[in-house]
Amino acid sequence: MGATEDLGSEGRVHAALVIQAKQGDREAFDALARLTGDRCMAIAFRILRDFDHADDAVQSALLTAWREIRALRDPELFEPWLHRILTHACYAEARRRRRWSEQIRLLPVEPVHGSDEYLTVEHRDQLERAFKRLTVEQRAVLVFHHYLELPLPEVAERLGIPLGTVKSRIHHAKQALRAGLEADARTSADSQERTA
Amino acid sequence: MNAPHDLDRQLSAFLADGPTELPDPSFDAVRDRMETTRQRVVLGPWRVPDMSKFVPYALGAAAVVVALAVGIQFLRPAEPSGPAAVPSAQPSALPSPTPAASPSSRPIQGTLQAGRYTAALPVDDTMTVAFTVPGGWETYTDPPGVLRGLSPVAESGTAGPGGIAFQFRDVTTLKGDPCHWSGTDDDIPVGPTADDLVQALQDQTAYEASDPVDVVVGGYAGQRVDIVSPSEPFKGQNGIASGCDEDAWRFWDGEIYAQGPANRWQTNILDVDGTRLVIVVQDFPGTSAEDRAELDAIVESMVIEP
Repeated sequence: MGATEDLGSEGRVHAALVIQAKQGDREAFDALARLTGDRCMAIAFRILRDFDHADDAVQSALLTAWREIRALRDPELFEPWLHRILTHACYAEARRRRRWSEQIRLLPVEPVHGSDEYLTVEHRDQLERAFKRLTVEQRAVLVFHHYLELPLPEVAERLGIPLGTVKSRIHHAKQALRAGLEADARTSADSQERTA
Repeated sequence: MNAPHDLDRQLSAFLADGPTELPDPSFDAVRDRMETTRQRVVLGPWRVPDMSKFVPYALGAAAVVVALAVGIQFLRPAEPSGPAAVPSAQPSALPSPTPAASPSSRPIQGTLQAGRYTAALPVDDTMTVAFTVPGGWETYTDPPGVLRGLSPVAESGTAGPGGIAFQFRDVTTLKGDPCHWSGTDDDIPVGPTADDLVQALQDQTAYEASDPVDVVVGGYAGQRVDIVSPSEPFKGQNGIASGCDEDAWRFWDGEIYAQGPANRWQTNILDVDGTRLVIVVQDFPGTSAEDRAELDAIVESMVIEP
């Protein structure tokens, strides 16, 4: 269901390219970007819930990675390092979007519906609304834990925050999700009663 | 909907949906922008050992002892009546320098032999600095021929606990949060004059900055403001940070960041005939008195030509 990682083998594949990229080899970095960019897009979209903003965040993260790659000490850890840069790019993108959204009304994102036994279309829309009400930091921990299926200590390391902070963000995020879903359900029930 | 595991399953199902590919034009756009984006040069290796909580205090105490013992006199405050553009005296601690050499006969790159050198500076096209070095120092040049910094070849290097270095540069933007510095939302723009930068360092609230002190370096007057990175480690482990963005503490824009916890930056902000030049001397509580004395002598030997 998620996008479980196998960074052991992938890390080794990436390492040779990273070493070349650290020496300024643009072709090597381009190859690295194409190996890792799709997963970055998947992560960024799930955090930001907006295709264009996710695209911008991924491009920004890849460019930062190119600029900073000489500071990466262990070439096998390129992708976790890139994901951390990506997360910060998502935070920055969300802040930019928040500033703009104070001036313009954003159109709702068309949700991508799939078939899943756990989610009806209605529940998926409710989750979309509730998820978008979370802070971007809360969304990031949920994505790394529930989408990449990383254990919590790995999420903490990946995002560069203490384990306690990860647990607390997940706890509060789920609380907020439940509250949002319940409020949505109440609104929906009230609306149906008035219609009847 | 309320059962915890039910929410987990729904969340996983919800997050499984959505795009999983970056469009080809986006890869191409990154590739195009790479052509105009230079890789940041890492100044010195990161050698930040895991320290127990008492170590920074011990290092601090050691620094006090060293400072009292040797009586460090570096970048002394300017004499109130002294002319601003008079070159400082040659250091007595240096070995006798070899005769002055032109940049063409003595390229400013890599490890330097003892002697006097002239190098271009990164703040404008014409500014140069002449200085005398003992053996055992290496340059940080980017592009070749443009001097951005010097550090000892010795194992101590630029990093903590005992490294030392200095850098030449201008500063146009301070980081609002030197730890979580990614993005530019909270960057603090700095005006064009030397006084603007002094004031910006005084006004920011993210870290302590010393009161400005008048100095003369390389024959030009300015002010020095000391700033220090936190004494607690701000890097993660195994290459993945668990502290600051990308393991780095950044006071300002550009390629150079603090070289470890408790890295003191003595920031000399000079007005060189209307152009701001920042010369930062970076050291640690554990920097040896010998390295510090050598660097002080190098700085005292500088003559800046606009």
